[in-house]
Amino acid sequence: MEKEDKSEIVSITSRKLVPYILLFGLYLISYGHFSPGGGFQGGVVLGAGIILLCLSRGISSTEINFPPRKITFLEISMITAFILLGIAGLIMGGSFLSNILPGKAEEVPTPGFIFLLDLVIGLKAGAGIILIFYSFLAK
Amino acid sequence: MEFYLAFLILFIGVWGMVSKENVIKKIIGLNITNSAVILFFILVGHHYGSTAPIMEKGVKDVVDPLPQALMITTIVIGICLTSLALALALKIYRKYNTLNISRIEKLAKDE
Amino acid sequence: MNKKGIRNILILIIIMLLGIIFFSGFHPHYPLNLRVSEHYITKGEKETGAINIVSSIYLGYRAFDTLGETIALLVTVSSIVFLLEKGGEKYWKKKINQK
Repeated sequence: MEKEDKSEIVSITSRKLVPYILLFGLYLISYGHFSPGGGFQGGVVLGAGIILLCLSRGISSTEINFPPRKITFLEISMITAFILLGIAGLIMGGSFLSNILPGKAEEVPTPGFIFLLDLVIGLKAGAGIILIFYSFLAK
Repeated sequence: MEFYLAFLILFIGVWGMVSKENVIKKIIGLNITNSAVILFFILVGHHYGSTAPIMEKGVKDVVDPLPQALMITTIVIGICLTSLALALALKIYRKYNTLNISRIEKLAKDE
Repeated sequence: MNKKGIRNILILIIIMLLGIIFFSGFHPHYPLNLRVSEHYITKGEKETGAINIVSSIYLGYRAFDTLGETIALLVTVSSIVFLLEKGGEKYWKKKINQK
């Protein structure tokens, strides 16, 4: 985006709005076992926050803060973590992807297995959405 | 009665995929078909007067949670399919400078 | 009538035939088998620890399905990056020619 095309209102409003969108995405991820929401939905909201930043400030200045190489690393490490969590269930004596942590449903951040899987899937889906958008906008 | 509406939307999507000439409109038809399938599966597990399947205290009559859990997977695969189709359309446009399917066919024959 | 109109009418007839085939095998009030869902609703909270039953099916009972879906998303992202990146195709052609 050229520097003359920038609108002050759009730039400032989106900059103030993006942290709250990211916070809402993290809320959807971490309360997925407790209320409507879940891993993939929260991850898409995280991706939408970064896409708003891209649309308002231009891709070149967004790539400084969120470099594509690091987001690719995040995606690959998250899918590795998913498979490792599955193998951990095998090691602890259950089946593949069985529950390894004891936890109660009433406690808000449940120390349970579903929260971990939600976090992994949310970060992975958000990274995937951002990577798709980066590669569509690249010249 | 609502089931027939889901079938109607499904066939609108199929008609858009088959009869339109623009590639982007074909992709929109694919998306409409995907949405109709999601609507049908949600309707199968639904009955009147029941609430969302979140088992707080005092909740007894809930909808069928199994089709909803299956439809999350369908939505993700729909996103994958749409983005891949759009990437291929962008590649086609960069090579032939048009999105009309019959013109692309003619240009590909001439090569 | 021109060629395009005839083609559109043919498409419409074929889609209506498809619709008749679909409707003939469809019974909206067929008795559904609900035993699996009943098990999920009554015992899902105890067995997986999640109040949200959709979440407990998605990540508890059928987490292997979710793993496959995640791999599908990964393959899609990598193929889009390969298709749309600047030097993607040239890099792989060079690598194939070297071998």
